[in-house]
Amino acid sequence: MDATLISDAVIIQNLLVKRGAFALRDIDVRVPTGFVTGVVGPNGAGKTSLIKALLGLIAPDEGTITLFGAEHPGNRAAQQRIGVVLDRVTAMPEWHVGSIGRRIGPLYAEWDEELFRGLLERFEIPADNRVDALSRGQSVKLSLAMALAHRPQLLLLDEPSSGLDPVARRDLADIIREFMVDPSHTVLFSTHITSELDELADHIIVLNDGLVAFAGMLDELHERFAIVRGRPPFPDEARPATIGLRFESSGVYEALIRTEDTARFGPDTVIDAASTDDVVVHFAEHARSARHSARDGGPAAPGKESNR
Amino acid sequence: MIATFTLFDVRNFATTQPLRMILPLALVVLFGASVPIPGAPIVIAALIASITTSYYFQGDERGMLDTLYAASSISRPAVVIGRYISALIFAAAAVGLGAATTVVMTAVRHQSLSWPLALGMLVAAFGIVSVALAVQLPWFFALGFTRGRPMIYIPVGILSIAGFVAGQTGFLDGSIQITSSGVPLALVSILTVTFC
Amino acid sequence: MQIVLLSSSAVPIYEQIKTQIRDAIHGGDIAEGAFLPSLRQLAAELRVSIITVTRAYNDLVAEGLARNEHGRGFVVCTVDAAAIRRALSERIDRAVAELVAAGRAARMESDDIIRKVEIEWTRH
Repeated sequence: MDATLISDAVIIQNLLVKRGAFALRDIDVRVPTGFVTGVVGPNGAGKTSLIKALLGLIAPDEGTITLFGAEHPGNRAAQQRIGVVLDRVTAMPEWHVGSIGRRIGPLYAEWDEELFRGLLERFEIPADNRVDALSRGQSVKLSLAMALAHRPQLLLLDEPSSGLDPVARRDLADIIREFMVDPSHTVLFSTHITSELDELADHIIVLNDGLVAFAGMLDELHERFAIVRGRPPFPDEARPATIGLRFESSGVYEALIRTEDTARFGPDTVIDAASTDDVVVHFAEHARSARHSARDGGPAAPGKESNR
Repeated sequence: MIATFTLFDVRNFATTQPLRMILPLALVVLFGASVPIPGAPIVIAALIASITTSYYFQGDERGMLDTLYAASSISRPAVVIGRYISALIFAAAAVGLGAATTVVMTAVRHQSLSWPLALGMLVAAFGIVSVALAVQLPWFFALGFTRGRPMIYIPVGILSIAGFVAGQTGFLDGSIQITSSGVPLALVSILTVTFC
Repeated sequence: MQIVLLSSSAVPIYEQIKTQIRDAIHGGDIAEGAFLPSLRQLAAELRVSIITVTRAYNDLVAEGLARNEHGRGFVVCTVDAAAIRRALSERIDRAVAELVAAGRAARMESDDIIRKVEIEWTRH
């Protein structure tokens, strides 16, 4: 199966994943081959659940996942073309770093021990150390080395930068970029650090409260949304167009809107570009106030929006 | 694939949790030797082996290995079967040790152990292990070690009670006093589990 | 070729890349028929997303400055000397317009501006 012929490394359709009270639902997204896709959202939005479903660690309640053109899980050939970096390294604390290749190499069809050793050296991870003796940065790099050593086509990373200092973060980004020089490679990473996305991602999926708020190219996100700010009175008829409307104590309001709705706000308002952060935060706030008003039994009255 | 996984699994267990391999085996000998019923070591071994299965899963949890397996070339069914075989290998070792202990102890105590009974013990041991594994494995695979752990007590509890009742009702040949076997068995299991 | 980006600029990154490559082509720094740097390699070096460079390259292709030899990379097209002169002249016109606007905003006289230009010219 030639990965370069498949335009989408991953196709997710109609996905429903229930985890207790939380559910990822109506997920319909594509992860295009040859590009970096970032999944962003606040904590609890479902990023990790999505990645675990992609790995086959959680079985979806509904929907399908297609991996490299084959239904997933169930296709071993496709399964082993995934490299994973999660928040903890997938190795036992007692293992010695240098022994990892010897131990897990046989579990892969294409383990390259030389590549693994080379990466360990480049990442400056001492082979004699035990896994539990590594720093956070070293652990992440070890995970990366383990993921890259079996020559994957798809690299999945769940919040890889958390806990990393700026230098390590830069190193991680560089390694991902190097991986992407091969056009048959794809990266999917989740983060809640929006600046990372701007530097690294070609495509973006904004998750909020288990739903997809936006999926598309990063540039499209900035073209599709805008921020509106204005002094009171707030045009109430424009309320449905707002996302995450908030009022300052002075009465000044700010909201995320779709670009086509800018006309609904008068000349005395300011229309500003929406950063990725703005989008994520406003969608999150919108969902939060919807939850609060549902709890209080009715649509939120003015003044119930979050006040600073 | 299954063989590859089993090899990895057993080696991993032996090298990262050696104490958890050796201690239960030592307990097989210890308790087996201390219970005066011929053939008891074999049944005790089966019980202990049923409990130690869970340690494989604890290892998985500590190393997040289920993720490792998911992204490897070993298919899920192969992982499950391979794990089953890993557990059986340990059980075989334990029961083998139990059998050896039986032979030694019956000789030391000048007891006799009839072949049919010995066979019966081995069959019982096999039965205990098979049932315990068949019940435990899906449970642990679904829940992981931490959430599935309380489960270990169930088969152990049932088997201990069954052994006790069987003894009390004379279900088994009266020449073997299994009446008291329920207590040591329960003790052994509780000790093994609490130890770890 | 050496592309230097300004992250704080109002000019989008892909626009900066495009401009610098265009200038290099017009200035003769990249020869006709030469390959532009590998798209993905450039993205990795400049630490920008692949789509950003893709956009710049696609725009250059649309302008007729390069063409995509599938599988081999982007090649600089035969350059029309007249077109280059026109493009360079347009660049000067743009710069002059900006200079004049900046001078007016600073309430300077045209002579002051001209003097500044002369000083800058002798410096390089």
